[in-house]
Amino acid sequence: MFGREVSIIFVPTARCDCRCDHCFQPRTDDTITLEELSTVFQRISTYLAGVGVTNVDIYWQGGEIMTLSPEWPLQAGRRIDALFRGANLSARHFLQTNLMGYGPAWDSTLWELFDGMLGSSLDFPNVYRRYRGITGEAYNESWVARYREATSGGLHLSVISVPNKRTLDVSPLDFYRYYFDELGLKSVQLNTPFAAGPSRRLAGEISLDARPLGDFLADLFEVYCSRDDGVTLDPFKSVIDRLVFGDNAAKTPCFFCPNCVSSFFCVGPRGEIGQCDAWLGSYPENNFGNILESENLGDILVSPRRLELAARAENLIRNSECLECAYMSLCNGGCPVRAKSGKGDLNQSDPQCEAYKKMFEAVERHVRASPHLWNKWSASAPPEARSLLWGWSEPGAIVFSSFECNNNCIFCAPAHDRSKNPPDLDRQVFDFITECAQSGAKTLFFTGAGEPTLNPSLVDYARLAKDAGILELYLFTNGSGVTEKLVEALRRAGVENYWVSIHGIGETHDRIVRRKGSFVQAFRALSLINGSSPQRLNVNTCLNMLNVDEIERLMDKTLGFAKTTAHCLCLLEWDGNAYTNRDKMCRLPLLRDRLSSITPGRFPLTILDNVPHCVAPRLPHIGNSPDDLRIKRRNTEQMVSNRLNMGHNAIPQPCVEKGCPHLEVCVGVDRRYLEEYGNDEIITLIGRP
Amino acid sequence: MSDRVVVSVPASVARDVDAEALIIRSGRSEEIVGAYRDVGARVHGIELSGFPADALKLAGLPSDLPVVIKLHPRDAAAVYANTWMADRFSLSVLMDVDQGLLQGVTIVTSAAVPVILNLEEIHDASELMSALRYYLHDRRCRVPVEFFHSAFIGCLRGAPVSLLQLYPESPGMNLYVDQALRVTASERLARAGRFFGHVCGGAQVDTSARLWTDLIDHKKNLFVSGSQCASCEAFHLCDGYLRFVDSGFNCEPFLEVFLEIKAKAREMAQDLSEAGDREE
Repeated sequence: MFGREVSIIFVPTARCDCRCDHCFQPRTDDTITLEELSTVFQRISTYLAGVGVTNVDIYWQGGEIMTLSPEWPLQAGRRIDALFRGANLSARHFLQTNLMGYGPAWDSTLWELFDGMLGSSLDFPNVYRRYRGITGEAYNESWVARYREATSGGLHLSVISVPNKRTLDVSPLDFYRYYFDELGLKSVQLNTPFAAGPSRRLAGEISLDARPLGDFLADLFEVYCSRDDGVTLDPFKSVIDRLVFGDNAAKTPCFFCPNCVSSFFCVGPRGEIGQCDAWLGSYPENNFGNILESENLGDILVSPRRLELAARAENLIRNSECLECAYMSLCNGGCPVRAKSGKGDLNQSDPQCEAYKKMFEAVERHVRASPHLWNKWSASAPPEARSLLWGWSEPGAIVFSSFECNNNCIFCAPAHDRSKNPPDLDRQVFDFITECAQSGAKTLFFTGAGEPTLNPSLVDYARLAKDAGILELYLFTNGSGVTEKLVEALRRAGVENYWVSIHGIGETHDRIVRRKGSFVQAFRALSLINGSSPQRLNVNTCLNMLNVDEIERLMDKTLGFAKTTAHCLCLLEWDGNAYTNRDKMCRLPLLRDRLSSITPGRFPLTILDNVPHCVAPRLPHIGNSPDDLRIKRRNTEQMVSNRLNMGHNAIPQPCVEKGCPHLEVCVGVDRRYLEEYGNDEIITLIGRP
Repeated sequence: MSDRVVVSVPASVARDVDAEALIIRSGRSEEIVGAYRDVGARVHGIELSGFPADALKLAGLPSDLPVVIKLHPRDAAAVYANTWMADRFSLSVLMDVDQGLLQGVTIVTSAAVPVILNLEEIHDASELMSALRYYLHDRRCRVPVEFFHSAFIGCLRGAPVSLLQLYPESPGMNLYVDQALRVTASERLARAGRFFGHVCGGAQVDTSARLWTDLIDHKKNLFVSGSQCASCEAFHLCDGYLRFVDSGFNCEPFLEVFLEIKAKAREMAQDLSEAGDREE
């Protein structure tokens, strides 16, 4: 039985391109088909929803996922998401990969399904990992090349490291430096080795003596504390968090959780259900059953083998030295599969018990001697709720800093304006910024009829604006030109507020902006900007018929970035491409239906732009901006108020006749939309006057 | 009777009790689930006698529902086989005060489940002080152990909280209905055969009953009667709760505990004050 949240370790394939000696997984060609996968997750979602689970984390493991085509997990993930959504379950996906099959072809999958985050494995020094004849140090070099390629594209990697006998000969300081200084990783978790499955034949080599391992962990912990450089090294950090903040705030590794049976289960490539990938691979005789052969997951989960596992902690407490151990509450007897492999009996304590005790002692000493940890406790609790951040210092002005664009969005209103930048654009923009500053503008929005990051002078514009005394600088971008270097340069120049346009997930976004690969760029940009801790990070989504069915998913993903401050859903005016493609623009009754599940409670960052009030009365709205916001498209044009510029909406007659009480706050409906669909569409929306 | 009264009822008779807020009690999940089906949103909490063998049936109950498991210390390890309940519900263990208390408290809190000492089931209080010391000094104890926690925090803040507040027997706020549909204020009073009403639709109480007036005027009576309680140095932490049912109750182990709580709270207040001075 589970709480409201459960994790599924999903092994879609047992195929692997590595031949690591210490691996507990037998390699076979078993791979689940998409049809089988649908059956499996249909049954799982039905069961989980029925027992009150609401959130599911799916950990994709192998085998090796990257032996599949990049499209396969994407299709599989979409199927899973659709099934889970249908059962009112929220799903998040996480990937564990050896990375050796990584190439940019995977980026779209990694961003769409895994939010640009992936876990990998790397040992130091490498003894057992091997990939197509590459072993030892060469393996690590090969891994690092792929890692560099992945991170240069904005992907985030965390690593699991499994110590071996040679690791214990390395100084803990060198070990630490390798991962954090040389590779620049931000998050590493140490797992202890165990010999099971195919690696059983090397048990004597792979298993580590608890005493030297404990010494190594304790010394490594000292290094970790002395550095205090903001990286995460687990299980140290989780143990500290557990002691200082309590269990709910700590992300404890599975081998220290009170009862792993309550938290997760594993699905194999043939539909097998077991406790975790380690059990599945090492002790298939302990599987609970097969979900392809049984319609009800509930019947499988009451398997005697699972119940035996569930009773382990209780048995340890009753029958072992664990009860007397001062650290029982931190380790809970450790990992059952390690106990089974090391001691032949899952009802024994973890074979690395003595090593863990040494580590716990070191952590406890540190926690007792570090009052600043407790200060952090009072400062950080309770966690801050996410809330919409909207508005800027007025008056503001819009700087059209590029007329070139690499996208051709189906709704682009100024599509006719997009061209080569005028040769004197720099001069025009510099003059405009100076004029704005002199006339008291407090905010500048760097946008364009095109993409501002295509203009190499962008950073100079920002620098001038800041020097001239403009308080707030905003950059609107489709993300294509956003690099770590640009974000840093903009930050130094004073740009601390961003709008990133993301109109859908994966192919949907690419189809809307009509450029392949643009989704990856947009999400990478969001990730890079998020990492720079901007003051505001807003996501802009233009609603249309192609994305209206996945708005909720997109909003979930946006919330996943810690620094996002608003997610604006807007209806475009029917100009330019939007008018040409009016059959793809959003119909209001459908939009009302889709927005009905978007509530401020679930999606606190949502704000609607140019959306009639009655389409989503519970959500915050904005419409035409106030007169203070000024528009200037060309140097030769006069600056006009935004309201005059955007007077393309009208209040439909049926709304007036019905005496709608919200006429004063409603933006109305685009005139051309009304011409196209007539008042009948509005009557569908509001009822007959 | 006020709508805010919380009525504790056996699950088997829950549907017969007309009250806005119910705590339903049983040792069987099936019975709890059945009662929940009958009375639904009126259920404010669940009280289970031990972890039932059919606990899985509780999965359909709303998450975050307060669930209290009554456990003897010797059965504490069962909490580990049912950790899903802590993830699902607002779970706490009501633990008998008996031999093995320290071990029981250690096990349950190790699984990050809060403990409330069951002062209606005091059989052996000899381990009370060691349990307090575990709560006060062991860094691995990361969840509250009541009444220690509230009493200590209250003393630290200079606003002591008494057992009578923590284990309320105020008939205006808490009622207890037994299997025979008789009404009193707590389980221990029911066990002592002391009632002040019965269920007939809603809980019908006799406000002129001796027990009712005793409960209402309890503190005043202690002073009027010149009871030892009124002059006890831990009176503000107990309010005469321990001797309300049995005036001969041996408070000694509790008194030691109260004094220790007060001393440690004073110590900590002093440390905090000195730390504050140093920072300034």
